[in-house]
Amino acid sequence: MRVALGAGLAALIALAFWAWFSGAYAEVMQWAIAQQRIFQNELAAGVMAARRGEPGVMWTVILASGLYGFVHALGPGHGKFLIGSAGLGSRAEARSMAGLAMISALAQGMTAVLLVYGGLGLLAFGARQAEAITNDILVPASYALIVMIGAVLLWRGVRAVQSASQTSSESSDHHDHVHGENCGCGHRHGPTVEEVQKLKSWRDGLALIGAIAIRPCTGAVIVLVIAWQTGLYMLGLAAVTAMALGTGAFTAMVALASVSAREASFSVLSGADGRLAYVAPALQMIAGGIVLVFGVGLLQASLA
Amino acid sequence: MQRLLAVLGFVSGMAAAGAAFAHPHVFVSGGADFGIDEQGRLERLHISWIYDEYASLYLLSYVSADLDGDQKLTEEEKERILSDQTNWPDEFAGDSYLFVSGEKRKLGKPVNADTRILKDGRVEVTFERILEKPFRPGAGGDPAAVVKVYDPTFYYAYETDAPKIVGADPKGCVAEHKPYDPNAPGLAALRTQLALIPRDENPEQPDVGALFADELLLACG
Repeated sequence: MRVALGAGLAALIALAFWAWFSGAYAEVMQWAIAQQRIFQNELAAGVMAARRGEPGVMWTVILASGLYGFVHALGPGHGKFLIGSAGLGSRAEARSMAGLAMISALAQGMTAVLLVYGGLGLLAFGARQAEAITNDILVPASYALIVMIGAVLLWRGVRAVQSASQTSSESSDHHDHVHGENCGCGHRHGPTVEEVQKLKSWRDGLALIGAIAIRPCTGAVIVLVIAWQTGLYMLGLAAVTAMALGTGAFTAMVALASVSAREASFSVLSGADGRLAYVAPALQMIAGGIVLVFGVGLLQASLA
Repeated sequence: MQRLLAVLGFVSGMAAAGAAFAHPHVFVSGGADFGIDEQGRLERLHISWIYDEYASLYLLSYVSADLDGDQKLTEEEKERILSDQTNWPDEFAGDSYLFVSGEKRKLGKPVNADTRILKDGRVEVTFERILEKPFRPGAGGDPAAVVKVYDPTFYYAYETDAPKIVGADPKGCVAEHKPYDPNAPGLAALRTQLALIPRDENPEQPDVGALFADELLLACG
């Protein structure tokens, strides 16, 4: 079983390397740009048709938006980055990570709705102001949250290594702090710890959703500005919801992949000598470190 | 070894995820025509920008023009579009560049600007840019004038039509259209790299868009 998993993991890694370095991934991205162009023009045509009062275009717009969201998501963005890192660097289950992916995509869509409909409708902003608010406030805020999440992941990793090395010096085969799916080991220290963990994961999820959702997608803002200005309010709402579902679907796939990669590494790397105790914290530290470094870089760029 | 592999795989995955969404975002067709004065000198460039359907609809929406969708613009609506499109901040060079012997010549800010909605819903903006120093390119073995239309950051991708020669005395002038060669060595690779740049960031190479620019040449014998 471990051999098979190891081979599968190695194949996956090889595939990732090949895709990245051979330019195949970039080819996919170019394809995605071309598709995106097609879908956004479909979207524009649909909105123009709706404005002329042509019946049945609602579904064209919704379909084009959903597909736009999905191909747009093929390009890695901050959402996939965070969800992927959190999947690797935490112990969350695949299902809850996928759920988080969908919820944050929908929440991100709603941020765009609040910003545009709220800003243009209630506060009488100009459309350019909505763009400026996004770029000057919301984008840096999102990156700041990403930096914080990276720091927290890193810090927890460091703490876990410390506690693992203390434990292993006491008893070398104590597998604590690792929760594989079929691993019921360790953690029954009573309700307080469980509660703390639950609270932690509840808060973690919220922080993750916040970091993703606070920054609306430009594509959604554009569609909503068009919808608001042309009086097609419901159509805009439907289009952005479809877009979010499309984006969320792809991000959920990233979530599932990251959790499977983590579980596979655990299985492959766990030796009989208790090395496993270090694997999870190490992954967490690496994930945290990378999120932190990328976050700082993005934050700097956005404030420059 | 296995551990190393896992870590490497993870890091490469994250590197991929750290990039984000791709350039270019807005597609503009159009180009530049050559305006010749009475003395046969290149005096001005007639620029046309035709935005893709999506960008056009967004432009119309945020300046509140043609909201009824009849594709007709009132004078006020035209003014709003042109004020958005042709009041350039000083740091914006205008996405059209004139070179002679590889050196940039100065072009003025937009004059005689106009705008309309094409049948397919795309918005066209036209304007002229006057040369600081008119000259007759290509005369007596002088170098030709070369115009490139591009966004240095490649956020906007421009496609040009063949340039026309207009104006008072275009005799003896020949224009040539050299679309950029997507198969030029290294260009495909660069383009794929650019496809990985986030929307709110600029490429590292300055002036990278120039590599994807068509060349519009003018020589007057």
